[in-house]
Amino acid sequence: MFRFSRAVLTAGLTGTMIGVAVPAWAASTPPGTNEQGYCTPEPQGDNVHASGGDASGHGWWLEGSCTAPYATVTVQLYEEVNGTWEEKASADGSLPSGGGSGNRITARAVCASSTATNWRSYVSAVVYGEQYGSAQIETPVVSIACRL
Amino acid sequence: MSVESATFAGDGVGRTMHAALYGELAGYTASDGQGRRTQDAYSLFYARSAAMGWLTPAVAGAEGGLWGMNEGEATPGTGSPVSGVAFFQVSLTGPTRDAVLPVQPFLACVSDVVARLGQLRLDAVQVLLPQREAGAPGTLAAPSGKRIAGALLDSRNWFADRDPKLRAQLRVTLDGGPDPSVREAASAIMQYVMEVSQNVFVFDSFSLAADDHLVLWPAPLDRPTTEFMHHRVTFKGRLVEWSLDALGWLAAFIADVASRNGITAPLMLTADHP
Repeated sequence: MFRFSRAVLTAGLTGTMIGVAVPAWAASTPPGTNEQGYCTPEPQGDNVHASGGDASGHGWWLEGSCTAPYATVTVQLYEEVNGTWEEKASADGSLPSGGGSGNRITARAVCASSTATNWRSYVSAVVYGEQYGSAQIETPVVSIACRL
Repeated sequence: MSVESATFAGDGVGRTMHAALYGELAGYTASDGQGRRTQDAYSLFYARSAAMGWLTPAVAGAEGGLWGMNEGEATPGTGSPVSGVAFFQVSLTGPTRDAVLPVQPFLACVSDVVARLGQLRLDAVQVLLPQREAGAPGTLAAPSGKRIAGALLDSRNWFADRDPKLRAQLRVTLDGGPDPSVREAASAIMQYVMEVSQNVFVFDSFSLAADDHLVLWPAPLDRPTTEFMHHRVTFKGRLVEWSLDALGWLAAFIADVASRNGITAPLMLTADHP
């Protein structure tokens, strides 16, 4: 059974690349087809924002080409520190698709000051069980009044 | 419901707009226990924003829309004393015509969402008006040469033929937080508004007296770790109707006039109809 492995992150001065590990057989399977049990979920999220003294970001997922009822959704918050992106918070959970009441994951990091700072997040959705598939989005860089 | 603490957005910080509704939301329960309520304030606001073209998706390179989603929550409220029943927060994403703040569509979206959740009795509303751009030329709106954003002029007729019996007494408190300029400009703002050709809101008076201000607690601008100054002014007048729609127009109008009088820092607008 395919197990989600934590996103691989490489950070540099010019930006960040992130990828979700997929099994070798899936890498050659066209996205959106499920003849071999592979599907493509659609992760969703919002921009990192200040909320109650925290930096906060939400994540959920849409079914995409999947019919599996649940996916593991992970939200990771990154703060830009001296030109490098550092992960400052992460949250994950198993959710039904579609968003809605109680079907969102929230990652939070407590602000130490209200200094303007760049943030972004990554939201990934990994379907497992009878179907396999994963996808990830990167939210835009935003400057918010929160520095850790 | 906890009112989320907003921050005064300074230079280089994305612009946040939020609205808190106070009163009672009859018939609302977060879950009816039978799975019939699958959506909440957040997801309904997201969906309504998307449907109306107001949402900017949170993906790199996204275009269009007015705001990105931040927060949304609701509770039934206790009715009395004035209690919070709903809270929504967005981050402004795009330029708007004449740099007018999109408060009217924001509160229209809030109104649509709350109507899906229950029956709202609105006692008061609080809106954070984020930092605004100065220098938008606007459109001539008075014999004296006063200008306001063209979008506000074009939309004023939406309220033109409302039943006069709907006109509501209104108290509006503007809180500039640490910026004292809102108090210094109060007279100029009132004079400006009275000269502009519009009948949505009629100013009667303003006051700088502390006892006249409308202050709802917890004050979202307060920072728990600092002594926070509040510089407030309160206007009284008559609004064409006590609705989130009209309040949205008024909030955008006041923000525009304030900007034209040199106040571009964030303002907290709180209104009720005593």
